[in-house]
Amino acid sequence: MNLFEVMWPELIVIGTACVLFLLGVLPMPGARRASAALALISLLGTFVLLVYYLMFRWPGDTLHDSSNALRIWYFAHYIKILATGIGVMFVLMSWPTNKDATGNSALDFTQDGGEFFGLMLLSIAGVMLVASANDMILLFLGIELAAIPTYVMVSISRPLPVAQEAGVKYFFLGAMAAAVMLFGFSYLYGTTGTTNLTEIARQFSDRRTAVGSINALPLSTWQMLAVIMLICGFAFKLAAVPLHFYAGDVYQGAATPVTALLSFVPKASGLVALIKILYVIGGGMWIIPAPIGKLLWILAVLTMSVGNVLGLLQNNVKRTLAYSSIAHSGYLLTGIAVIASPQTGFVQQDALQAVLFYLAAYGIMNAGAFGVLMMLPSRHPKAATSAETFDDIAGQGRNHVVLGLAMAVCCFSLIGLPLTVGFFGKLFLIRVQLRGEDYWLVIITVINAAISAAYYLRIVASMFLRATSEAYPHAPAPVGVERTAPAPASFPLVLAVGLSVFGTLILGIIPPLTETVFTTAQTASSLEPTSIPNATQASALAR
Amino acid sequence: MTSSLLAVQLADPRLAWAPVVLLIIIAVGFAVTNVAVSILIGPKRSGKVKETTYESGMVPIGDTRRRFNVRFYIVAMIFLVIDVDIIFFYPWATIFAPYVQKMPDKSGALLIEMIVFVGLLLLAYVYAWGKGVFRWD
Repeated sequence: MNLFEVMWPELIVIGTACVLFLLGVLPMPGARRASAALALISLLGTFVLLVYYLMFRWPGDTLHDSSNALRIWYFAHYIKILATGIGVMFVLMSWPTNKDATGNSALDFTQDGGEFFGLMLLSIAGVMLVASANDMILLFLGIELAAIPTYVMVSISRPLPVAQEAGVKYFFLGAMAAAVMLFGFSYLYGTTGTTNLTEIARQFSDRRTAVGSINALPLSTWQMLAVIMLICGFAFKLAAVPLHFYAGDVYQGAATPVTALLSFVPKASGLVALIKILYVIGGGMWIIPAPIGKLLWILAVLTMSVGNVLGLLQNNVKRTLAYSSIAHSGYLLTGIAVIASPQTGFVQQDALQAVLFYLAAYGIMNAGAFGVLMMLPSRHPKAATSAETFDDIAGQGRNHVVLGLAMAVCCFSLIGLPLTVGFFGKLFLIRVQLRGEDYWLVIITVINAAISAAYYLRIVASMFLRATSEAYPHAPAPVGVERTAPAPASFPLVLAVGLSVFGTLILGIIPPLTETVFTTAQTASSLEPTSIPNATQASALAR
Repeated sequence: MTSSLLAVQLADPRLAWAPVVLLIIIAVGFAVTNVAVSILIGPKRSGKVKETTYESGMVPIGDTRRRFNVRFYIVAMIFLVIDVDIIFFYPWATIFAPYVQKMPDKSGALLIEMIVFVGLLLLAYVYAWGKGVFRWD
């Protein structure tokens, strides 16, 4: 099969990134102003093409290249649509206007614009590659392609020591996690003798058939070790709890649009990789060994609870949102825990559907919360600093009612209140937990949703109920910038917040639309057309 | 081709490594013998000049433990770009020729893949160049 046919979305995005890098070295600074527009066009174009392809040109069989290293079925397609769609919002949020007013980014876009958007596109392309990878090497490369540009973006996003610190921390910890993950991949390769995921899934399935019992553990000790190391690496990308320590500092240190990107793109890559590996370990039938199921259950519960409790203790809104994103990883992991539970039937499929829906919902509602923060001024006239602390946003909801309401919608959705997409996300997750007969998980999830309400409502309450804080008297505003006045709204940023709020509300209020997304997630919840190709098909694919 | 170069078929394939082992023994033996012989029979006369560090006949100035210009590291990274290029070129080159012979119609794809790879690395090189990595003032 033609390679271009299989990977054109990635090729478009990566190709544009290359053009943007070349734009970055052109001697004319004016040319770099076009970089944001170029990035937007490429992502939007890819998004439209993917949707069009899904609706009208879907071949009814997997797309794969000759060596079966890339394999695309509805699952991969769904993730790609999600990555490009949410990516459009991120580009709009970091649009190079309005940088002095709210300092949503201190980048001099006539200087670094090409690189910034090029890196952003590469990161999104990484998620797309993870989604279509069917080979360990490609999977690893995809995860790292999603992660490495973010290290650079964190460092260059603000000319402040705190951003440098965040970048260095994120880089070293990320490298460590990548090393552990790679170690796991090496054991998996060493014990199976192949890097092809379909082939490995078939080996596990064959071994289970040979043993004859469905409950037999098909993994050897080394393979178990490998899987645990892989889960470790993916948990870092997800900021799941024993590996969440970087999240607070990094999310706070980066400029707000970069924080928004961090809370979705690397997370999606880790989640997708985790789903793929679980599918492989389950021999293509989601029969996950019980110890791994227990591990994921504990991981999910810890991530939810610790994320939410630590979220209560913060006095920086960006840090609060960082812990909220940890908690949301926990909610996503509860779905994964149901997938890995020893239930039979179609629970696994339903759980994956709920997880995929939740990922989309989280992407939509989360971007809006960061977008509103970017429009509010900080009381500190620091470069590239939008509203960060609770004092910064105090009373701003009454000064700017629309912004306050937008933040309220996003926060309500993140809590999971009805009439928002977040409600349906939690509803579907809890429904599969019930169907999986995991009542403890249900109880813990609901308690966590209640805990999280405390700090989300604190954000909303600060915006509406508190009096506006005085600007620091000893910190005069920069010349020409009125600190207490609203930032002159930049249209792309307003558009991004508008899209997010609109999506959050419309998917929560109009059930047919929610159902459309949910059915799309259902088709996406099958990773392969049939369970897995049998030996003859697999060998035919290998050649 | 490659097989004809290494076509010495031996009964025990492990014996194919015998020349390498012999070479290692000779190399180590030569060095050890020379050092031992000069220690044993060489004249031992020391002096101030003889005890200085030998640096191409120059009188040494200062310490080596000092800061280097950061540009050295950047140039080293550019070197890595080319280095990685070679690491991938070599295995590719070994399979390309047999591939052309066996299935000439599909070998174009293999060539294009390498061209894309080299193109991407060249892009990185051009980027570094444009950013002034090779400007030394």
